[in-house]
Amino acid sequence: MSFECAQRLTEILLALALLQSALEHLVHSPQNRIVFAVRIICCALILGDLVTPWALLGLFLTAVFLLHRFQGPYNGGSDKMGILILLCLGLSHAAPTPFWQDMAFAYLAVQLTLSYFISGRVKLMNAEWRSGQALSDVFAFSAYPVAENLRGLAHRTGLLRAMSWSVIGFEVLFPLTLLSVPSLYLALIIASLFHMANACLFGLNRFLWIWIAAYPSLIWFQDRIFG
Amino acid sequence: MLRKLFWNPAWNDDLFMVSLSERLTLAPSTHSIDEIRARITRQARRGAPSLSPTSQLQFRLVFISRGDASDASAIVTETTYVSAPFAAFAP
Repeated sequence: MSFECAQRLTEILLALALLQSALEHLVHSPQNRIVFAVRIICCALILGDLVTPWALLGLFLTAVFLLHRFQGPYNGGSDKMGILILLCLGLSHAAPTPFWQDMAFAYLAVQLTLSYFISGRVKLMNAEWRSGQALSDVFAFSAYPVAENLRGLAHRTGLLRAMSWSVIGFEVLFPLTLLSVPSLYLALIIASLFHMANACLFGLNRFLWIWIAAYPSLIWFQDRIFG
Repeated sequence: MLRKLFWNPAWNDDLFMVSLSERLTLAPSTHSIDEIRARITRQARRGAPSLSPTSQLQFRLVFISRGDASDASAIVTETTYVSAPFAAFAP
Protein backbone atom coordinates (compact mmCIF):
# COMPACT_ATOMS: atom_id res chain seq x y z
CA MET A 1 0.00 0.00 0.00
CA SER A 2 1.41 3.41 -0.95
CA PHE A 3 1.89 6.14 1.62
CA GLU A 4 -0.75 8.35 0.00
CA CYS A 5 -3.30 5.51 -0.09
CA ALA A 6 -2.67 4.53 3.56
CA GLN A 7 -2.80 8.15 4.69
CA ARG A 8 -6.07 8.82 2.88
CA LEU A 9 -7.64 5.56 4.07
CA THR A 10 -6.68 6.41 7.66
CA GLU A 11 -8.24 9.85 7.27
CA ILE A 12 -11.52 8.37 6.02
CA LEU A 13 -11.71 5.68 8.73
CA LEU A 14 -10.77 8.18 11.43
CA ALA A 15 -13.38 10.66 10.21
CA LEU A 16 -16.06 7.94 10.29
CA ALA A 17 -15.04 6.81 13.79
CA LEU A 18 -15.01 10.37 15.16
CA LEU A 19 -18.27 11.16 13.37
CA GLN A 20 -19.90 8.20 15.13
CA SER A 21 -18.74 9.35 18.59
CA ALA A 22 -19.61 13.01 17.96
CA LEU A 23 -23.14 12.08 16.85
CA GLU A 24 -23.58 9.97 20.00
CA HIS A 25 -22.62 12.97 22.15
CA LEU A 26 -24.66 15.45 20.14
CA VAL A 27 -27.88 13.43 20.36
CA HIS A 28 -27.48 12.03 23.87
CA SER A 29 -26.19 14.97 25.89
CA PRO A 30 -27.22 18.64 25.94
CA GLN A 31 -23.70 19.68 26.93
CA ASN A 32 -20.99 20.91 24.55
CA ARG A 33 -23.19 20.62 21.49
CA ILE A 34 -21.29 23.37 19.64
CA VAL A 35 -17.99 21.54 20.09
CA PHE A 36 -19.41 18.27 18.78
CA ALA A 37 -21.11 20.08 15.90
CA VAL A 38 -17.71 21.53 14.96
CA ARG A 39 -16.21 18.04 15.09
CA ILE A 40 -18.94 16.72 12.81
CA ILE A 41 -18.20 19.50 10.30
CA CYS A 42 -14.47 18.68 10.46
CA CYS A 43 -15.22 14.98 9.82
CA ALA A 44 -17.40 15.90 6.83
CA LEU A 45 -14.60 18.07 5.41
CA ILE A 46 -12.15 15.17 5.74
CA LEU A 47 -14.55 12.74 4.09
CA GLY A 48 -14.96 15.22 1.23
CA ASP A 49 -11.18 15.76 1.13
CA LEU A 50 -11.67 19.50 1.58
CA VAL A 51 -8.98 21.40 3.54
CA THR A 52 -8.13 18.10 5.23
CA PRO A 53 -5.05 19.34 7.19
CA TRP A 54 -7.09 22.18 8.70
CA ALA A 55 -9.96 19.82 9.52
CA LEU A 56 -7.48 17.53 11.27
CA LEU A 57 -6.21 20.52 13.23
CA GLY A 58 -9.80 21.38 14.17
CA LEU A 59 -10.39 17.86 15.43
CA PHE A 60 -7.15 17.92 17.39
CA LEU A 61 -7.91 21.26 19.07
CA THR A 62 -11.45 20.22 19.98
CA ALA A 63 -10.05 16.92 21.32
CA VAL A 64 -7.73 18.89 23.61
CA PHE A 65 -10.69 21.03 24.70
CA LEU A 66 -12.72 17.90 25.49
CA LEU A 67 -9.82 16.45 27.50
CA HIS A 68 -10.01 19.59 29.61
CA ARG A 69 -13.81 19.55 29.72
CA PHE A 70 -14.00 15.95 30.96
CA GLN A 71 -10.77 16.27 32.99
CA GLY A 72 -9.34 13.34 31.04
CA PRO A 73 -10.55 11.02 28.29
CA TYR A 74 -14.30 10.50 28.14
CA ASN A 75 -14.03 7.05 26.60
CA GLY A 76 -10.64 5.92 27.92
CA GLY A 77 -8.30 4.29 25.44
CA SER A 78 -10.45 4.99 22.39
CA ASP A 79 -10.13 8.75 22.93
CA LYS A 80 -6.37 8.38 23.42
CA MET A 81 -6.03 6.37 20.22
CA GLY A 82 -8.10 8.98 18.36
CA ILE A 83 -5.76 11.74 19.50
CA LEU A 84 -2.71 9.67 18.57
CA ILE A 85 -4.03 9.09 15.04
CA LEU A 86 -4.92 12.78 14.68
CA LEU A 87 -1.44 13.78 15.81
CA CYS A 88 0.33 11.37 13.46
CA LEU A 89 -1.87 12.28 10.49
CA GLY A 90 -1.42 15.98 11.20
CA LEU A 91 2.36 15.62 11.43
CA SER A 92 2.44 13.54 8.25
CA HIS A 93 0.77 16.47 6.46
CA ALA A 94 2.93 19.13 8.08
CA ALA A 95 6.26 17.30 7.72
CA PRO A 96 8.69 19.17 5.44
CA THR A 97 10.16 16.11 3.71
CA PRO A 98 8.95 12.62 2.72
CA PHE A 99 11.32 11.15 5.29
CA TRP A 100 9.58 12.94 8.16
CA GLN A 101 6.17 12.13 6.67
CA ASP A 102 7.16 8.47 6.84
CA MET A 103 8.43 8.85 10.38
CA ALA A 104 5.17 10.41 11.59
CA PHE A 105 3.09 7.67 10.03
CA ALA A 106 5.48 4.92 11.12
CA TYR A 107 5.15 6.17 14.70
CA LEU A 108 1.42 5.41 14.52
CA ALA A 109 2.12 1.90 13.22
CA VAL A 110 4.64 1.22 16.00
CA GLN A 111 2.26 2.52 18.68
CA LEU A 112 -0.52 0.35 17.29
CA THR A 113 1.73 -2.71 17.46
CA LEU A 114 2.75 -1.82 21.01
CA SER A 115 -0.88 -1.34 22.03
CA TYR A 116 -1.39 -5.07 21.52
CA PHE A 117 2.04 -6.29 22.64
CA ILE A 118 2.22 -4.35 25.92
CA SER A 119 -1.36 -5.23 26.76
CA GLY A 120 -0.52 -8.92 26.24
CA ARG A 121 2.70 -8.68 28.23
CA VAL A 122 0.90 -7.13 31.22
CA LYS A 123 -1.64 -9.96 31.14
CA LEU A 124 1.09 -12.58 30.80
CA MET A 125 2.82 -11.26 33.94
CA ASN A 126 -0.45 -11.37 35.89
CA ALA A 127 -1.27 -14.69 37.61
CA GLU A 128 -4.99 -13.90 37.66
CA TRP A 129 -5.00 -13.49 33.88
CA ARG A 130 -3.05 -16.71 33.38
CA SER A 131 -5.55 -18.67 35.48
CA GLY A 132 -8.61 -17.06 33.87
CA GLN A 133 -9.62 -15.53 37.21
CA ALA A 134 -9.31 -11.95 35.95
CA LEU A 135 -11.74 -12.54 33.10
CA SER A 136 -14.07 -14.42 35.44
CA ASP A 137 -14.11 -11.41 37.79
CA VAL A 138 -14.82 -9.06 34.90
CA PHE A 139 -17.95 -11.06 34.06
CA ALA A 140 -18.95 -11.61 37.70
CA PHE A 141 -18.41 -8.22 39.31
CA SER A 142 -17.46 -5.44 36.92
CA ALA A 143 -19.79 -2.85 35.46
CA TYR A 144 -18.82 -3.84 31.92
CA PRO A 145 -21.03 -6.81 30.87
CA VAL A 146 -23.82 -5.36 28.76
CA ALA A 147 -26.42 -7.89 29.99
CA GLU A 148 -26.99 -9.63 33.32
CA ASN A 149 -27.23 -13.06 31.67
CA LEU A 150 -23.57 -12.65 30.56
CA ARG A 151 -22.56 -12.86 34.24
CA GLY A 152 -23.18 -16.61 34.05
CA LEU A 153 -20.00 -16.85 31.95
CA ALA A 154 -18.05 -16.14 35.15
CA HIS A 155 -18.52 -19.80 36.15
CA ARG A 156 -17.25 -21.24 32.85
CA THR A 157 -13.69 -21.50 34.17
CA GLY A 158 -12.32 -23.72 31.41
CA LEU A 159 -13.72 -21.49 28.68
CA LEU A 160 -12.43 -18.36 30.39
CA ARG A 161 -8.94 -19.81 30.84
CA ALA A 162 -8.87 -20.69 27.15
CA MET A 163 -10.12 -17.22 26.25
CA SER A 164 -7.49 -15.62 28.48
CA TRP A 165 -4.64 -17.57 26.91
CA SER A 166 -5.98 -16.93 23.42
CA VAL A 167 -5.96 -13.18 24.05
CA ILE A 168 -2.54 -13.28 25.75
CA GLY A 169 -1.01 -15.38 22.98
CA PHE A 170 -2.44 -13.26 20.21
CA GLU A 171 -1.38 -9.96 21.78
CA VAL A 172 2.13 -11.04 22.70
CA LEU A 173 2.79 -12.58 19.28
CA PHE A 174 1.21 -9.71 17.36
CA PRO A 175 4.55 -8.01 16.38
CA LEU A 176 5.69 -11.24 14.69
CA THR A 177 2.78 -11.06 12.27
CA LEU A 178 4.55 -8.12 10.59
CA LEU A 179 6.97 -10.60 9.04
CA SER A 180 4.65 -11.41 6.14
CA VAL A 181 1.64 -9.89 4.40
CA PRO A 182 -0.73 -12.88 4.88
CA SER A 183 0.07 -13.17 8.59
CA LEU A 184 -0.50 -9.44 9.09
CA TYR A 185 -3.86 -9.50 7.28
CA LEU A 186 -4.89 -12.55 9.31
CA ALA A 187 -3.83 -10.82 12.53
CA LEU A 188 -5.79 -7.68 11.66
CA ILE A 189 -8.90 -9.77 10.95
CA ILE A 190 -8.52 -11.56 14.30
CA ALA A 191 -7.89 -8.24 16.07
CA SER A 192 -11.03 -6.78 14.50
CA LEU A 193 -13.05 -9.77 15.72
CA PHE A 194 -11.50 -9.32 19.18
CA HIS A 195 -12.60 -5.66 19.27
CA MET A 196 -16.01 -6.69 17.95
CA ALA A 197 -16.37 -9.22 20.77
CA ASN A 198 -15.45 -6.50 23.28
CA ALA A 199 -18.08 -4.26 21.71
CA CYS A 200 -20.75 -6.96 21.95
CA LEU A 201 -19.88 -8.26 25.43
CA PHE A 202 -18.77 -5.04 27.14
CA GLY A 203 -20.27 -2.28 24.99
CA LEU A 204 -16.88 -0.90 23.94
CA ASN A 205 -18.05 0.02 20.44
CA ARG A 206 -15.83 3.07 19.96
CA PHE A 207 -12.66 1.00 20.43
CA LEU A 208 -13.59 -1.13 17.42
CA TRP A 209 -13.85 1.76 14.98
CA ILE A 210 -10.90 3.80 16.21
CA TRP A 211 -8.49 0.84 16.26
CA ILE A 212 -9.51 -0.18 12.75
CA ALA A 213 -8.77 3.39 11.65
CA ALA A 214 -5.10 2.84 12.51
CA TYR A 215 -4.75 -0.42 10.55
CA PRO A 216 -3.80 1.14 7.17
CA SER A 217 -0.68 2.62 8.80
CA LEU A 218 0.41 -0.87 9.81
CA ILE A 219 -0.23 -2.35 6.36
CA TRP A 220 1.85 0.47 4.83
CA PHE A 221 4.55 0.06 7.50
CA GLN A 222 4.85 -3.66 6.89
CA ASP A 223 5.31 -3.06 3.17
CA ARG A 224 7.84 -0.27 3.82
CA ILE A 225 9.99 -2.37 6.18
CA PHE A 226 9.60 -5.93 4.93
CA GLY A 227 8.12 -5.52 1.45
CA MET B 1 -26.56 -6.09 19.38
CA LEU B 2 -25.41 -5.17 15.86
CA ARG B 3 -27.03 -1.75 16.22
CA LYS B 4 -25.00 -1.12 19.37
CA LEU B 5 -21.80 -1.42 17.38
CA PHE B 6 -22.81 1.82 15.73
CA TRP B 7 -24.99 3.49 18.34
CA ASN B 8 -24.50 3.08 22.09
CA PRO B 9 -24.47 6.56 23.68
CA ALA B 10 -26.20 5.70 26.97
CA TRP B 11 -23.80 2.82 27.64
CA ASN B 12 -20.78 4.97 26.82
CA ASP B 13 -22.03 7.55 29.29
CA ASP B 14 -22.38 4.81 31.92
CA LEU B 15 -18.78 3.80 31.21
CA PHE B 16 -17.77 7.41 31.80
CA MET B 17 -19.55 7.15 35.17
CA VAL B 18 -17.30 4.17 35.97
CA SER B 19 -14.25 6.28 35.09
CA LEU B 20 -15.54 9.12 37.25
CA SER B 21 -16.09 6.74 40.16
CA GLU B 22 -12.52 5.44 39.87
CA ARG B 23 -11.19 9.00 39.66
CA LEU B 24 -13.24 10.00 42.69
CA THR B 25 -11.75 7.15 44.69
CA LEU B 26 -8.16 7.77 43.59
CA ALA B 27 -8.16 11.56 43.57
CA PRO B 28 -11.40 13.23 44.66
CA SER B 29 -12.36 16.35 42.72
CA THR B 30 -15.42 18.54 42.46
CA HIS B 31 -15.48 17.84 38.73
CA SER B 32 -16.03 14.10 39.28
CA ILE B 33 -18.68 14.74 41.94
CA ASP B 34 -20.54 17.27 39.78
CA GLU B 35 -20.48 15.01 36.71
CA ILE B 36 -21.80 12.01 38.69
CA ARG B 37 -24.47 14.17 40.33
CA ALA B 38 -25.61 15.53 36.97
CA ARG B 39 -26.01 12.03 35.54
CA ILE B 40 -27.79 10.64 38.63
CA THR B 41 -30.15 13.62 38.65
CA ARG B 42 -30.92 13.16 34.96
CA GLN B 43 -31.59 9.43 35.39
CA ALA B 44 -33.59 9.90 38.60
CA ARG B 45 -35.87 12.44 36.96
CA ARG B 46 -36.45 10.10 34.05
CA GLY B 47 -37.06 7.07 36.28
CA ALA B 48 -39.03 8.77 39.03
CA PRO B 49 -41.27 11.52 37.64
CA SER B 50 -42.78 11.97 41.12
CA LEU B 51 -39.60 13.63 42.39
CA SER B 52 -40.53 16.96 43.93
CA PRO B 53 -38.49 20.18 44.00
CA THR B 54 -37.62 19.41 47.63
CA SER B 55 -36.41 15.85 46.91
CA GLN B 56 -32.85 15.05 47.90
CA LEU B 57 -30.53 12.51 46.30
CA GLN B 58 -27.37 10.86 47.55
CA PHE B 59 -24.90 8.37 46.07
CA ARG B 60 -22.19 6.09 47.35
CA LEU B 61 -19.40 4.22 45.64
CA VAL B 62 -19.00 0.54 46.48
CA PHE B 63 -16.00 -1.37 45.16
CA ILE B 64 -15.78 -5.14 45.14
CA SER B 65 -12.46 -6.96 45.22
CA ARG B 66 -11.00 -10.36 46.05
CA GLY B 67 -9.58 -11.04 49.50
CA ASP B 68 -5.86 -11.34 50.19
CA ALA B 69 -3.66 -14.15 48.94
CA SER B 70 -4.53 -16.41 51.88
CA ASP B 71 -8.18 -16.50 50.89
CA ALA B 72 -8.60 -15.43 47.28
CA SER B 73 -12.16 -16.73 47.18
CA ALA B 74 -13.32 -14.17 49.76
CA ILE B 75 -15.06 -11.15 48.29
CA VAL B 76 -14.41 -7.82 49.97
CA THR B 77 -16.96 -5.04 49.61
CA GLU B 78 -15.75 -1.57 50.45
CA THR B 79 -17.63 1.72 50.41
CA THR B 80 -15.09 4.30 49.29
CA TYR B 81 -17.24 7.38 49.05
CA VAL B 82 -20.59 8.65 50.32
CA SER B 83 -21.79 11.92 48.87
CA ALA B 84 -23.52 14.69 50.72
CA PRO B 85 -27.26 14.92 49.96
CA PHE B 86 -28.03 17.15 47.00
CA ALA B 87 -31.19 18.58 45.49
CA ALA B 88 -32.87 16.59 42.74
CA PHE B 89 -33.68 19.91 41.13
CA ALA B 90 -30.87 22.42 40.95
CA PRO B 91 -31.86 25.77 42.48
